[in-house]
Amino acid sequence: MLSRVADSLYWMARYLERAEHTTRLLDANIQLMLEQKPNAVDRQLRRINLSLGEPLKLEGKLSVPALEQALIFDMRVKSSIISCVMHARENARQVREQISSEMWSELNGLYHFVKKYDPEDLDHELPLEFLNEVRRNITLFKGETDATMSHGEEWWFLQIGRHMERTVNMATMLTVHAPELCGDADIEHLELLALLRSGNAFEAYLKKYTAEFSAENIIEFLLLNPQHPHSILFSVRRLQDSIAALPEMSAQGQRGQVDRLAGRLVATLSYSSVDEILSSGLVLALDNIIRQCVQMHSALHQAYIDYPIESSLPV
Amino acid sequence: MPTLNAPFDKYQLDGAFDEMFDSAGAVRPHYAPLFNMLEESSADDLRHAKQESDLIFLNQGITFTVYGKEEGTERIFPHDLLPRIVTRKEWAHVEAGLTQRITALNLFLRDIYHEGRILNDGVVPRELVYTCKYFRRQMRGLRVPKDVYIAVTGTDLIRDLDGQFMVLEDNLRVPSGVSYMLTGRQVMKRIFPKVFRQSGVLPIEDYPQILLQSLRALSPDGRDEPTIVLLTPGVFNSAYFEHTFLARQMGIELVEGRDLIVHDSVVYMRTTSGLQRVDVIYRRVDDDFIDPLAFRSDSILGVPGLFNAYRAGNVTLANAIGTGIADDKALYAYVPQIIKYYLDQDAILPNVETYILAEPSARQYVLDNLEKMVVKAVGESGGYGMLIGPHASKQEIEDFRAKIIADPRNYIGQPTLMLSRAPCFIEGGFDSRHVDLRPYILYGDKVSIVPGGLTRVALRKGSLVVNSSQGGGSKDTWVVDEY
Repeated sequence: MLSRVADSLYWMARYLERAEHTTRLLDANIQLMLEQKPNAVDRQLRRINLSLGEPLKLEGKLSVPALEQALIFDMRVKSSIISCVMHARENARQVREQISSEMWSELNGLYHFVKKYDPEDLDHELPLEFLNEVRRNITLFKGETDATMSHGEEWWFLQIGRHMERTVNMATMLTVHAPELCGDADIEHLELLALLRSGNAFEAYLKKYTAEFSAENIIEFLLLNPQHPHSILFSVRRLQDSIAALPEMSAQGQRGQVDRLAGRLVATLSYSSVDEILSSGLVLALDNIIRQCVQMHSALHQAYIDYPIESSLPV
Repeated sequence: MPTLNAPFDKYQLDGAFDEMFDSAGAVRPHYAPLFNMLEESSADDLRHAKQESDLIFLNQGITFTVYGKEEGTERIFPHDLLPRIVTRKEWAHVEAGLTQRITALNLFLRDIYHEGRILNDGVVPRELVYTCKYFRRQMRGLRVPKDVYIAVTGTDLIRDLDGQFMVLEDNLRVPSGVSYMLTGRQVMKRIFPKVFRQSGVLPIEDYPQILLQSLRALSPDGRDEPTIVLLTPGVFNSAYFEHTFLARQMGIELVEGRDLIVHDSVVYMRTTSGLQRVDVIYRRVDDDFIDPLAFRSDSILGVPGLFNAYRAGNVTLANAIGTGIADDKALYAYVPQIIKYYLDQDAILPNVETYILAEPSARQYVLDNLEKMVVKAVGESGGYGMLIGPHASKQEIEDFRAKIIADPRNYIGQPTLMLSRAPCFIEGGFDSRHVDLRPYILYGDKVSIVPGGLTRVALRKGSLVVNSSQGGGSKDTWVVDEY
């Protein structure tokens, strides 16, 4: 596979995962904020904003409609749904002949759907229907990807992109909530529910822990649960499997470096307990995860996309 | 003037050769199955068929890009519902003529980049060749595999008033449109299976395979299992759909300039399994942009060092660099002499009468008769830079007069031609529109031409311009067995 194609597939998956993250954050919090007092709403808006990979630079007070507007329609906001979907589609267009027609058709449909929505509708209705449709479309895209594309190298690059993005997003979101989860700040019951919902984990959590919400359990679930597809441990394991499926690079064994980083992260998390993490510092642990993801991203790039010429010539 | 019965009662039949009806208004025999079907079908049936056909094009993403629009840059290529039909006998004549023409033009290219015999013998003016902006002095003395310069050609043919095929122009650089020929055929088979079978249409589906074989035949010496790639300028090029289509059909990689690297005069592509050597590049990038070190230094589409690798014989470019000299519109006038010179044969397919405006007497004649002439810039394609006298305003004619006087080498004149007309399905009824025909000629071990080509149609009533950028569309072209 061409390196450029691998790069485009990787970023296509990342942008779509990012769009989904923004969608879920909005979806989980919009209803919550209806029931909150003004100062609680302010706090929640700040949390949503910081949970994005690249928070908005805010001047003055933020309102709910303004944040909705920015996160759905503002092309200048990198994490906005429209901008993520557009970038995903641009990447798909670059590799149009590599992805299936069904995938293209779903992504193209999503793009046109998002563009069609009228921002003025936000003045008199909650965009819940809209967000749900975006989420459904992304899910359909992922379904078509699994069903219509060969699960070869191309497909694995999509998996890497998706789980890399998901890991970073979950870690960022947990970091924002770290003071409350560690008992250094107050948090309302509803806000905990919104956190779980943002991680797509509410019902799954109930099944495991019942409706008892404790900070430890929530951290354990979102960080270390081995079975839930949005937990960090689950995502990094997928990341490791996907990297292992890539071809060995001929000359310099660069894949070894990516393998090693993924393996180390998986091992650290697999053999951690929530008590240990809390006692040595949640923020530190999350920081570590994000830092290692960044390293993995660079190592991957160097091994497969932008490698030096001299060491990669065929023998 | 014969009149036709419904549903052809509004059909325009005067003033040009008609593909379906003869001058007495009778249906030509090879059009009979189509004609019978059209007579029997209701307007609703046909409208339905048209919708179905458009939908197939849309769903397959058969689009071209319109420049200068921020959004909605991808459009469906307009495709007329009715096929254009040519008999096997007519085709045999066309095929022989094109084979002769391409063989001679290829010998001409070989000659002018080596000994230049034809220039020394004074058959083609030296001046004309050396002043052409597509002449590449870097190609002098460079041997290309099998001496084949033009692996892919699209030659535009028209019919005169008597129905004789003539050559309007050659496209020897990077001709496009073949994907419309192939997909148009798929659509026709689905829409009109019965007429298709009755007519005995010759197949064209092996085009990608023959193209691949031709490219393989041209691989550098000693590279028996060549890696072949298609080089595209990228997603913003108007023919990007075609590039992805052909790459997929041939099963080869679609690469952009940034995917290729030249190291020690060898070309590699960057893959996730390391660098992989590239042997043959079917390039859809113009000469000017292919290597910023050798040609235009501001090109970001090209590959630095590619021309060196080419000179070293480590990679084949198809088409070769510098083929544009042979489709220069002023040189076109000399093609019959070129055929005579190399093959000692008369041209099977005639040229359109052409006035070289660098010659004073011809220039005077054209300037005196501008309102009756077509004037074309020699290096332009796509219907740009062109004056159609009978359709032009006084001001446009005067503007062109000034341009010709300022730079006569840049223009040629031709009489206004009445292109033949073919039946089209337009706004729920039938009418005739002007058409041309672009067959695609492949040259590897030998010259091969799939039977048919792209029929381009000027969808605006009365218009003679068939280019897609100027309101043109396409039709499937059927070469059928005789009746």
